Amino acid sequence: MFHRSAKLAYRLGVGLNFGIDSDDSELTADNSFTRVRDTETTSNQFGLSINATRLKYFTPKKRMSFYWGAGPEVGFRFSDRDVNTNSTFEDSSMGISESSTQSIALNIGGILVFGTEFFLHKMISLTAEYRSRSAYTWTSEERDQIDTSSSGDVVNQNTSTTKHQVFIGSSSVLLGLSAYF
Amino acid sequence: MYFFRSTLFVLATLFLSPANFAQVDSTGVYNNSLEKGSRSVQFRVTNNFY
Repeated sequence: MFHRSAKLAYRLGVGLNFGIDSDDSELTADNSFTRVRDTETTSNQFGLSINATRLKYFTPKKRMSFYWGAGPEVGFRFSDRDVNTNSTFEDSSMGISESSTQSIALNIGGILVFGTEFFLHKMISLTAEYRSRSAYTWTSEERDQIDTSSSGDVVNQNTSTTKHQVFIGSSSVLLGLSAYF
Repeated sequence: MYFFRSTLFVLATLFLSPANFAQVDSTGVYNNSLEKGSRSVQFRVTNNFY
């Protein structure tokens, strides 16, 4: 963040996002027969965003300063998801299904922020900020699915999907620590 | 170890200097770093991303 004056500052922000998820579920129907469906899901995602914000402080020379700001933001997100399902009926295989989905999303939009900065010290502050984001998102998704039946027949399906989305007002709260120099 | 001690010394000098504790003057103005030419680095966490 760079201050042009006590009341006006420019901020360059970089956002990172990582996600790893693993899930194993087993569904058992036990009546006069036993049917089991075992599903393993793993997914990973990585995202990066960059924004530039012009901030205006209402009360700069106070211990607690309020500010608002706005600016553009661009970002991308990559995700990968694998699902393997194994079904059995009375201990004999009913088939195996394996799917793999990769998607990449690009977005361009703007952010509007309103926050407060509390100075613990002349050069150190704590920040709480409400952020509202609006953006256009383009998503491309590729999905491969292989189904193998109990008799050994293999069905291979490939799906490509392109999505265009516009969202307005997705909000979040950010908590931060600032060091001035 | 020398680097660690030096860094600690510099930080202590910077933050414990009397000027940094003379925070509010007689007119009620708080002596913070919100002024022309100052720069800062922020580390932030959020509850969601997209």
